[in-house]
Amino acid sequence: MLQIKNLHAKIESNKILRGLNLTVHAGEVHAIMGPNGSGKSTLANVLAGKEDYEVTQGEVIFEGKNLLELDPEDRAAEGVFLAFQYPVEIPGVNNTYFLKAALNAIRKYRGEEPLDAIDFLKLVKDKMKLVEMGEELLKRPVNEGFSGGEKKRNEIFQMTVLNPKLAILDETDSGLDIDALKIVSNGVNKFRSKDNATIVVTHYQRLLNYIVPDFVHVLMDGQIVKSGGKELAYELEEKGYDWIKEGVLA
Amino acid sequence: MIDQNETKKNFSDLFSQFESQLNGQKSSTRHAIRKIAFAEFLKLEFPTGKHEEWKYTNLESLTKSKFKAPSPIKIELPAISNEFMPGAIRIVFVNGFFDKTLSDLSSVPKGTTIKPFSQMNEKEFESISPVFGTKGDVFSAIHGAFLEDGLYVEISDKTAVEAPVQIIFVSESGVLTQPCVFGQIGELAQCTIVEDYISLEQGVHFTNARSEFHIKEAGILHHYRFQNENLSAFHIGHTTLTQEKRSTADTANICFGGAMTRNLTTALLNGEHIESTLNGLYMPTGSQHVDNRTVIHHKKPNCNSHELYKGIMNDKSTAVFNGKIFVHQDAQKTDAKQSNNNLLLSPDATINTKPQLEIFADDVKCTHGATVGRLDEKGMFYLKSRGIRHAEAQNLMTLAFAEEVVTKIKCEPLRNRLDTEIKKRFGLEESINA
Repeated sequence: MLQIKNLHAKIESNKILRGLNLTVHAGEVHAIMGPNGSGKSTLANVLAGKEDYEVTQGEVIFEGKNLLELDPEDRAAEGVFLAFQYPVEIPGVNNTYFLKAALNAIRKYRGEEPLDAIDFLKLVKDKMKLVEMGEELLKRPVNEGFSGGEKKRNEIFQMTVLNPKLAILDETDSGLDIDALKIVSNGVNKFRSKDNATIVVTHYQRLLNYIVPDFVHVLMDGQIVKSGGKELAYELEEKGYDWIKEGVLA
Repeated sequence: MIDQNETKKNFSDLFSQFESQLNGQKSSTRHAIRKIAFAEFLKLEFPTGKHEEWKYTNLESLTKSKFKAPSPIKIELPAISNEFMPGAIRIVFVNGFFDKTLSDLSSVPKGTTIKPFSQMNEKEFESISPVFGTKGDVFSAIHGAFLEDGLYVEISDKTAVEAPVQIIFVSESGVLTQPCVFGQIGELAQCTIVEDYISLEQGVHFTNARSEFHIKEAGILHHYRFQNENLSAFHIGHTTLTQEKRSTADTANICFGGAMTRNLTTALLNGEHIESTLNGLYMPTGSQHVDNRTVIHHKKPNCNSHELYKGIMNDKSTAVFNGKIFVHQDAQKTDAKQSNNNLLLSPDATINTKPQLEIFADDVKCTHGATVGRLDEKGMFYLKSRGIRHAEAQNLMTLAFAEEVVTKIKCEPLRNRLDTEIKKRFGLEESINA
């Protein structure tokens, strides 16, 4: 589904990704772990198409297409979804309207008929249950005045409604208490299927107790320096990142 | 260049024409006001770019245009019924004349007087006449000289008027009109007044409006002004709010129409513990010009004033914001907040914004800020990352920018109308708040 080859990216003059390689197949969950500043969020944002980052080298192939040539809205329509670490508040735009506009823009791109209000509401009500979203949140402006947990739940809710092929969760666990963490993870687990893939970007192993990954990768200084199964996450939790650093340098 | 003599001659001819249409009013109070004002007008000059207050607003095309004195005409209901707010007390003025058929005064509650000047007797009109004194500026002199009809609103003490009072001023092409509202809000009284300015058709006309409100102790006035005239109209609007202690004035000034609009809102905070809110929204397109000025006088201690003016500038439009706040020596513990935020959607649009604070008291909190910018990048990326196309994302973000002013309006039928109007301008679906 996704092949990242020798990806280099910088923001202003800071080189952050320095030759990153990653392959993700449908049906897989990959966890990207690493210390602060290793480039985890940069990777997530580069894949979604944030313009602040400049890709200087390498390529990203998504479902046979050159992802880096697409605008953010085209990437979304092709099936890439980024759950933001810091979801943006958009006062004045109603959450339901926003989601309907997004879903119908994606359907249009794919040559499908737009959903009418009734079918849309039916879909939304189904998905709301998955993340235990209150109906009042739907009527409010996008993320405005939402608590940290509500914002993250809203991200996962949007993900389940838009039903992407590739979901990238950027530190979705940050700022969540244990109950919210369970709810969010439950939403992600229900979303998982043999046809889609998930990249979980996280600093802590905690989230991976609930969203169990098939692969764990350690990102350091803009490169994946170690890959393994879910056991690698436990090892990192126990020993920290330094032992890997030493291994890399040795 | 403004040709002062030529312009005065045009207005003098118009005044003769206007006088000749008046029947049996020659000895009335109203006519005495007109004559005094016209004499004053002849002594005044139209301001030019040399006047500090008029540096960015050019009156040349206004002074070169010729207008006709208005006469009452019959219009069909459907022409303006889209603007009617459900449940409102409605008063319609056509070309400045009260139109009984289009108005609906059936739900005026007890303790409330809502009366056109034309239905007042000589004595009643005389009692309110001091308000029409000219103020040494050419537009208030024109207003007095051509004064025709207007509306008197009086809310008795301790009376809350639930239904909004909607006053619609509709003009045909070519006319010069002097809309006028004079309101007295009693002690502990409460009401919502919406002034609507619209054109019957395309074509140049000149609306020279003036509204005066006096809010007594602990009275509350919500005052909203919605200027949506055609894109050839000239519009001058003066609103004055005189507030007594513990009163609240909550206002919004929405400017969508007009080739040239110039508004001046003055709030006189004459007592302690007054709340005064002066908000505004302007969205000029094409070559529209809109100039909003506010003047707030904090005269006594412990008063709060809030100002939020937002502008969305398109095409080659130009706008001016000038916000003056005077904190007088006596006005300790004043809290005055002012902001003017502008969104420039076109490289050819221009905004001139100027806060002006004069503070003579030492224990006060005054903040002001002006921003001129483009759409929030983070918000744009967020919307696009969900699949929303660039153009629609831009429209949604612009709408969001305007909504901050609209949501503060405490009159649901008006909010709905504004939402519809704004969405129409951005080609967005109706159901945004569904």
